[in-house]
Amino acid sequence: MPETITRPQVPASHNRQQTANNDGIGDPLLTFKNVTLGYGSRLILQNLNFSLRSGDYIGIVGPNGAGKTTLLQAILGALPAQSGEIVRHREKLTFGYVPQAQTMDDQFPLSALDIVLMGRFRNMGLLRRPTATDRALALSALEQVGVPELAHRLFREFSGGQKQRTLMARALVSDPDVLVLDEPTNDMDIAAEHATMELIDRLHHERGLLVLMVSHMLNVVVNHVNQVAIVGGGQFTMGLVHEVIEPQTLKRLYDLPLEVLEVGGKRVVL
Amino acid sequence: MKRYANHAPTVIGMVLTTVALAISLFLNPGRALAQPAAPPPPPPLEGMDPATAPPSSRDIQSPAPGDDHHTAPAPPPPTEGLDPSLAPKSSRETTSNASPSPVSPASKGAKSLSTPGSADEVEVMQNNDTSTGKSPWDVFKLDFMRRALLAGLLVSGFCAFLGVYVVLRRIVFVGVALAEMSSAGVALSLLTGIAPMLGSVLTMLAGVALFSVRWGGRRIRQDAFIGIGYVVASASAVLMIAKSASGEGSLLDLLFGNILTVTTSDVAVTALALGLVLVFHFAFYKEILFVAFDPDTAAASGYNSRLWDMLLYLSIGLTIAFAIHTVGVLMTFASLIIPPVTALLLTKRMGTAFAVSIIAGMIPTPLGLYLSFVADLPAAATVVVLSFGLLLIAGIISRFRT
Repeated sequence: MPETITRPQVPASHNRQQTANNDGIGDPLLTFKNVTLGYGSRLILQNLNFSLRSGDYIGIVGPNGAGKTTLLQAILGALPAQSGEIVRHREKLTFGYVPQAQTMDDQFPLSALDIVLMGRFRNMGLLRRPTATDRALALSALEQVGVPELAHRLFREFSGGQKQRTLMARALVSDPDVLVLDEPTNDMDIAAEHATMELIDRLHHERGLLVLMVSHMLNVVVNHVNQVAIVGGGQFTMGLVHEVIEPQTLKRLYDLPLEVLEVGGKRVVL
Repeated sequence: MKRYANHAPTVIGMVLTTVALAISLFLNPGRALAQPAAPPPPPPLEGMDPATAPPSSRDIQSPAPGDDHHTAPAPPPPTEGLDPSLAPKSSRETTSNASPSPVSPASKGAKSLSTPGSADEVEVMQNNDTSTGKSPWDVFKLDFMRRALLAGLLVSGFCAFLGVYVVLRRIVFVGVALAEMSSAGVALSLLTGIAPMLGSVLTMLAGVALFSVRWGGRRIRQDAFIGIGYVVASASAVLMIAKSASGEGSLLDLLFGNILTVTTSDVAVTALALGLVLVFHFAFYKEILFVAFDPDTAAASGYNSRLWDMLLYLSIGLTIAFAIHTVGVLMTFASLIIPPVTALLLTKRMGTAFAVSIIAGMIPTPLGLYLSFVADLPAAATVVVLSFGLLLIAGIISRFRT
């Protein structure tokens, strides 16, 4: 097996290394211009104006039911804008979507490798079967997320953290432009949460991916991402963490007297 | 067994209850059957031995499965290949008996071998109860038994194959409802005279179309509407049968199918339709699997999840629609659930799950047909009970393994 097959991601990501550490000054990938989102006559979010750039690391936060999922659907292209325009700056913008691990079906007798291979299906095209190359790519993706030993074990028997990593490997194996994570640390104990966030940080850093993370766990988000998008009360605010996460905004959002403290170099929202 | 605690056991319970009900209907002569008492069990058929049967037996058979088979399913031809001196006469008789309405022979012939029709035929069978040297598989040297075996293996194998998706996707109740819709289509064909398979495909398509609409929006869950579809389809089937020429006796045909009167063209049409289903599943296995397992992620990576889901439902519906006419609601429904659960209890990979399910679906068919022949039992119900026996064994094995 040639070396390029076992470690294919490294040459595949063109110039991302350079944009990796810039806080939002990479090439724009997706721009929302005066976008209104909603279902039928129900408008959820209005007047959205923002750009997502390669190398961004963005947390989408907000109370339950405020429209985080709606926004995510629009970004993924599953929900069209009711008005305004969503511009994709690359012809083929690919998303690596990581769903919530605990919502995955636990009946299917699928191994981790089977599931990671699904991330290759779109690249393979119709009527094609996974080749040895696809398999090698899938194994290498499992290695990158630190669980190569799980490849041939049953997904349904995994812990939450192991499932999360398998799903991340599936998202990575398609060599995406954007990594989208839906509540990646839900239902995890503190050790698993820590390990998962470290992994996401590392992926963002090493591969220069645009990472979008939906989470309601403010304390987790604010210590890892560069930018925060707050969705709540029909409003949308996006900016650097220290600009957006401050008492007034939080009070408006959650209607609670919240404070932002710095403890040992980490932000804590109380 | 814990993994499938959600739906499957409930549904298997429902199947078995229905079997019990159906058997009790059979044992209650006044209500269910036109023929009051069950005739003596058909003896093992030695006359079928190719050595003793004269070459003319092939000629004798030709009028029965011949010309009128497209419009009127033939009555069971129990005389085929039997005593050459008696066979021609009674075989012609049964053919002529079949004519007045296209529906009556189906209703008469479908029950089981326990109603072989005229006293003549019973006599023919008994006349042959003299010689020796019987192999159980001689039963399948009878043409109609061979067709029944072929059709049974075909539909039970396919139902077991697609049933893996039905169980994994937790759409067992959709499968049941589509089976009931298809059976209403067979009832429609008895009423209007259209081909039964056309009727069942039409009502199945109507079912898929109805179920793909979100009638209750966010307020009422879809399963309520699937339940409504099921019960209304059953009621419509009863009403259509009541008004059809064959009368309420045909209700049992819907439940148990017409496996013993399946014609060669039935088998051919079924094989063709199921062949299409097979090609589709073979070609698009990875898309179907991805969308079935994780529709959200599939959609995010660019697949039209709703479309693929719909195609999966259609292929399941098509299989059900073609199975219904042959083996009836009961066996279709059972083959859709019991073999897949058997397989999923025993296996840890998709590929082996499909393979074991298909095998577990097919094994009971020849056994059941044979038992139904020699022990005078309704074929479909026998197959269902045997299939459940396999599931029990699988359940015990999987218990001891964990």
